[in-house]
Amino acid sequence: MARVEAVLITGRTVKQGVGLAEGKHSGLYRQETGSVEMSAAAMAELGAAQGDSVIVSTEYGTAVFTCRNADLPDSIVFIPYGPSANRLTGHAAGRSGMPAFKGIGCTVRRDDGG
Amino acid sequence: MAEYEGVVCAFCGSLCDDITLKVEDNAIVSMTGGCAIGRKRFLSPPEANAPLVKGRETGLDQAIDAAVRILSSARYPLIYGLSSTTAEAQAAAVRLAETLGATIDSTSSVCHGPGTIARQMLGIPTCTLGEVRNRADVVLFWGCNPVEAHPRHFGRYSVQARGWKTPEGRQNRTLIAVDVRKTLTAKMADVFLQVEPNSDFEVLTALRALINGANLTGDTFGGVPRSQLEQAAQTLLGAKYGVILFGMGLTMSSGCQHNVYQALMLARDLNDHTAFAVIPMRGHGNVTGAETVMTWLTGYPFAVNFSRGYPRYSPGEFSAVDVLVRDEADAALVVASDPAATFPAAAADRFAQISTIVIDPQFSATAQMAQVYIPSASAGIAASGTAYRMDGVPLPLRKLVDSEYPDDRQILNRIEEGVRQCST
Repeated sequence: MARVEAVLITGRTVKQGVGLAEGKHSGLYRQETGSVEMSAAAMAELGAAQGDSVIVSTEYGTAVFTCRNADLPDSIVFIPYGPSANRLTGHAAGRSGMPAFKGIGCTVRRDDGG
Repeated sequence: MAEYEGVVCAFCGSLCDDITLKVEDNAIVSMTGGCAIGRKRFLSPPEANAPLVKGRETGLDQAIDAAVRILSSARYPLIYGLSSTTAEAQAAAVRLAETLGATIDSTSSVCHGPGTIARQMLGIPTCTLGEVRNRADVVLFWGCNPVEAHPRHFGRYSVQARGWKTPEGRQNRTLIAVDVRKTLTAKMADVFLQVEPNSDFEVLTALRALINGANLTGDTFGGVPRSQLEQAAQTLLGAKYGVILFGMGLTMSSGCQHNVYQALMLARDLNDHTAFAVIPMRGHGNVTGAETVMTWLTGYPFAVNFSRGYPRYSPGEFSAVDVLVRDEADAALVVASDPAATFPAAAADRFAQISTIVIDPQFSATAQMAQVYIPSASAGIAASGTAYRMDGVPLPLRKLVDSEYPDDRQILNRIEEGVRQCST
């Protein structure tokens, strides 16, 4: 099965912010925080189209996202902050208290329902 | 119908204070100014939930009593959140932490905490956003994306804003963006340096070396060609008044506080040649207040523990994620924050396993996991108080409508009173 090795960055988006204000049960919040952005080349390598379901895994966990195309390097995937992204983020905070929210190695593969 | 001018939106650290609202029949019915997030916050707030104890609706007094019982009998209580409430409520939370001998931490520990650690090591040459608006002719955005996270920052302060020395707004400014992604902010910049993930320290170090006249021999630094760095260095040195605005691209990437230390040193180096200031692009509306208030009252900005009867500070030890992952806290009081949606899973899942109390206007993801949920009046909508903008300027939050529930400060004071009565 095709897979893409990449670096995961999580971060803020306007839609995620509007969803926050609307409430975390809102469709907008769930849709936005359930999305992963990838380059067109990375999506082609996976054989995934806009709106397809993909599985993102890190050493900390695995979660399913809807993929969408974005202007990104092929080696970077981006997920808006939210509960799904945090299935993938790390708790090894070291001495700063800051967990690993950005720059985490990840694998993306298509979710073929199996 | 009542009309309120100069209302402050407390959603993000920009604290836009130019909003006009009309209120009729205890509801905000129209809004002028603000961004899409602010409009949603003021005009379509989520519906309030009733107080809950173990999933059952109850009265406010019963929910507060349940919170008192949990906290009074806890071996290691944690108080967390605080960044979307008033400074007055933050002060009440610190007092409660001291009464309980609890650990208290704010969302700083998962956003700009490392930057605060760097500021403690080095200090910070800083300014107000008014100075940015009036003077800044070179703006360096490093690891931040205000177009999406602080939607009106460009217009009010840092890009299109017209000021005393910047009468033409955007035309008077040169923008440099540094990021791993070509964000919407990067797309609007004059110069974009695309760094490889976790390479900010290397790029900052190379840039400092160029500013200090070193002859660099490498071709690329953290993915950035030397020629681009040289161009950026010349632009920075040519500033009459420059400002570095940094975000969580620095604090959350490998190196954390060391990245911010290097950014502060870059500003220090540049101040040998021209004037440069640094401002952290704080996210939550009053996260700056959380650090400010905690520092007044304990001497430390976040990750403070009172178990020995006096405040101790130790990020990585008393920061909330660490306390939860190490399975130390047996009770948590979460105020105006939703860590179940923002913490790594290993920490977030703990809220369902320990006795969790949530005080929040919204029935959050953390509230769903909590034993006790206490709704409160929303700061800046149904509760007044003070919030600190990202540059440390305090601004007043107004009460615009009535809530059927007390504000966070009142609830925290009642809990503290109950805890004191339990201990006598």
